[in-house]
Amino acid sequence: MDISRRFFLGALAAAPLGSALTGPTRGERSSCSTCALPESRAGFARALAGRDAADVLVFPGAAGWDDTIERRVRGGRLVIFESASGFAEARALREQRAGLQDAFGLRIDCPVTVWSQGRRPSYLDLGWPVRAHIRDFSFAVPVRGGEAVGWLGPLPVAALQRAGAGALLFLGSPVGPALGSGDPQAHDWLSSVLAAALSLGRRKASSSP
Amino acid sequence: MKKSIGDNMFLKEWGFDKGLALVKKAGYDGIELWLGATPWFTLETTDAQVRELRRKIDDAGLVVSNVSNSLDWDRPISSRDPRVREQATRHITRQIETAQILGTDAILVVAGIVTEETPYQEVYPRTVEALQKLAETAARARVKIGCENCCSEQRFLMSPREFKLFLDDVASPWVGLHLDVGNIHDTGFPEQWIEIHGPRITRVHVKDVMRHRGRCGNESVYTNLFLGDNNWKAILEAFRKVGYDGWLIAEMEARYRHAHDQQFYDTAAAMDRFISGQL
Repeated sequence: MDISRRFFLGALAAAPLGSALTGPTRGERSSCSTCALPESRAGFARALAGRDAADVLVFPGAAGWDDTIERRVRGGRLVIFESASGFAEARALREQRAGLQDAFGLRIDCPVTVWSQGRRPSYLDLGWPVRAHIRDFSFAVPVRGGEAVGWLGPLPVAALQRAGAGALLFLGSPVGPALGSGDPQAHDWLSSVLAAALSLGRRKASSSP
Repeated sequence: MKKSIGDNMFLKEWGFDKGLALVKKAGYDGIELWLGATPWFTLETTDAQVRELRRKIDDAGLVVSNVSNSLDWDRPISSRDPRVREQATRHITRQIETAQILGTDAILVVAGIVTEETPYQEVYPRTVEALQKLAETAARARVKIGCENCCSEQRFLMSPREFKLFLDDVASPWVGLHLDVGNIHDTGFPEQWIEIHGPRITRVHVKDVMRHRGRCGNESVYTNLFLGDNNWKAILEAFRKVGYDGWLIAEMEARYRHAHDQQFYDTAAAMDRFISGQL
């Protein structure tokens, strides 16, 4: 059976990342077929293990797009979409470009090779919800639109776009590997993201009839 | 101990057959084959062609000491890109397969390369994980993976104790140390590496090193045996202490500028002196 990358991303999105990864079969299958950066997946999984992440959905090292993201965001979720299109076939970028533009008005460019442009040392500077200074991961996807929340030098590579009751956090420079290698700033940043998601969830609950 | 030398030392115009004849004539017992470094042994070389290489080696009265590769530097198993890691896994797996065909039980890999772009804290866990997977293949084939200590070039596992902890983390009897006694430069002493690693040493590369020189321009830090700063007597005593009686493989980075074949004879004679203890 020919199963598209979109289908698998959809399957992964059916559960919060932690449970999807530790689940018996579906998580295993998804991790092989939809994520171009297994260590990013492992990094997020390790960082989220045992934590209250019900309001957050993570697409680590994504090599495609999932059409259900918009519905989930508008429904009150905070979706972290980490693009790994620099490590995937060109189709991944095309899918992500179309999905982000159509659903969230975000425009992404072709991945840039950070280290071929002579920037060294190179760090991703995240500015939301807290500041964090995290090692780059060689490829970065520039993004325009929404609220710029992360930069590699002058280049915006992370954006927050609120939609409906939730928000999409686009990461064009992978953070999962830094979580996996135990970067304390990356972990503090993720904790703050979880807290922000929790408050999003509370707002949604209080505004519900 | 037995003597070997790499086929990457052959001049291009010699070809495999003439090179083999020289190795035999110079008195070596075996030959190290370098996957990816010569036209006769590449990733495209078929099993049948590898068997033909073995036939020629047998006919020359030699054996294969080990299979090395020259591909790890461009395709390291520690790469950030999973696609590159997959390529690395493929070529190391091919080394293991060809080692079986060639009748040897050891391969050499350069495991993990730290660069400005790919930092140590990433390289370490990635390399351990990759080797744990490759160790399963190696165990099935009964071929040992020897991780070479290319300390200065790799910027990784610089000290013998660090290397030991790394091998402890990989935790497989099928993954050990391919010790290069010339690669330690001024960061330590090969005899201490030998004592610390003992039975985990799979093979040994020999060359001498000029510690004062460093690596600058075209001047190599390496030189012929007995011309550099290695304490060969201490190295031999350490081998005897840990009971290493395996292959010594000449890896002469600095090549003769004239009479290229003479380096094969001179190196073999120096290795004989070393093995016999006449130091």
